[in-house]
Amino acid sequence: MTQRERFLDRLELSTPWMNAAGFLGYFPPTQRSWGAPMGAFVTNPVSLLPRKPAQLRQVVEYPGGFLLHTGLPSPGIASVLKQNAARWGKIAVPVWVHLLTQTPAELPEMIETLEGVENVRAVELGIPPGVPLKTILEFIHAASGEIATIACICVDEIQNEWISSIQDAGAAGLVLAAPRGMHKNSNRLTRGRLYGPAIFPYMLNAVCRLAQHDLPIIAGGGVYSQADGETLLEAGAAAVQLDAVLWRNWET
Amino acid sequence: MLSEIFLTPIGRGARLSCASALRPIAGQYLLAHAEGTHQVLPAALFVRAADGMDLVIAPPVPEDWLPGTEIYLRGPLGNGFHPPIAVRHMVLADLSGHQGQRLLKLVSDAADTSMETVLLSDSAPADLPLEIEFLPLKAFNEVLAWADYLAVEMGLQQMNLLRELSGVQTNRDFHSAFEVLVDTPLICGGIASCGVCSVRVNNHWQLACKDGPVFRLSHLSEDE
Repeated sequence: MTQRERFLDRLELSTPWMNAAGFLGYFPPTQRSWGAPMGAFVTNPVSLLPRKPAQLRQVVEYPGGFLLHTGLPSPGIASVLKQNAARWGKIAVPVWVHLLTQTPAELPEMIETLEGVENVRAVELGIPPGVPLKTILEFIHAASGEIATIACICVDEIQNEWISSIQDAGAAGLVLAAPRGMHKNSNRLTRGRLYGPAIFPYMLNAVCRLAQHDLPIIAGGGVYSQADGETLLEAGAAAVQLDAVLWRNWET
Repeated sequence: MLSEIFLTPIGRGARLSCASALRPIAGQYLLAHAEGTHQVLPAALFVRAADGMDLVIAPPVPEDWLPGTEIYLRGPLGNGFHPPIAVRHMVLADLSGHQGQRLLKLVSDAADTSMETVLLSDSAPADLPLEIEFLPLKAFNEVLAWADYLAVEMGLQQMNLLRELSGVQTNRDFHSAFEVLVDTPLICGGIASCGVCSVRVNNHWQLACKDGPVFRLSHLSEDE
């Protein structure tokens, strides 16, 4: 078995394609815009307590992509589960819940709650920006339980020498999430995540660099065609996540 | 298919030939993407008028769309305007710099052909129908007393300007039938609930992409 086959088998993924957190809400739509069937459904970010949107929410488009700043609002885990837990048990693919926490101390309560939810097979652990490896490992340890933990770190922050420590801490995989950047809009500098086909070369380079380790790598951005996704898989990605491409070309 | 592009001072408008099922009411939108262009995000299109199988799209549309371009459309999406049936005096007010073009379909949708309409804006579209009177925004307060229905387009940052122009103290002072189309990015069509189009309504967060983009003016919260 290849590393990808072991990863797909362990996490019960029928295909290596899935959505990125924040792009299909808390429940998958019935129609689809992407040719290949999805292997998992990744939820929007879920925080322990309700979280407001950013005061200045913005989309800044530029050639090849866009910057998105939302503040990652969340109704909180209790509200998300009240509305979706029963429905998640009935969908055909495994659910990965993306957790958004500021400190590792928030995680045990959330993990314990999710362990009782049918069809939740993994938690995707959104690591806050700019934290050192030591803190990343504390997050992963705090999330350990019956559900597989997938660390989710911005592709521009991850370092080669961190990979084996992340794996040793118990992560079943690593999502290379969209990088952060800045842009000017209405005479104001805005920080946010960068999406779009322009980051594909950056993502491909990161996958080639990191796939030499044993930890399964999930390419989490820059894919706007089936060919680009397949290139990432050929380069060693265990799976590929799709973002705003899922908002286009819907069958109606 | 995109059959015509027309130029206006606020950007390019378009004429689309499309299936008859895609007929948004005023204030609803279509999410559109043209394969083979440089467009990354789908564009939210507002219909200015329906003409047989054609939809006249209010400007602006993406710069690299050309006549003959095949457009994928999804919709109609969101909540549009719902004016009372017996409107006699309709006021359309545009604070967002779109010349009221996203509001004009309210006039063609109206059942009562004797309805009188005023458009308040910084500037008027060159082809504004003769039956619509154009006035500058400074006439807002005066015209408001005459209106039995008001439809506004504006960004949330223009809330203070709207209250100043209309002479009201709080949003709750607006007539309950008055409505606002919130000018905000509409990028996912309600699929993602990403939050970029969040609007505070009755002290709860709602999303313009699926709960709006049209809301009751008196329901918009001021404490965001």
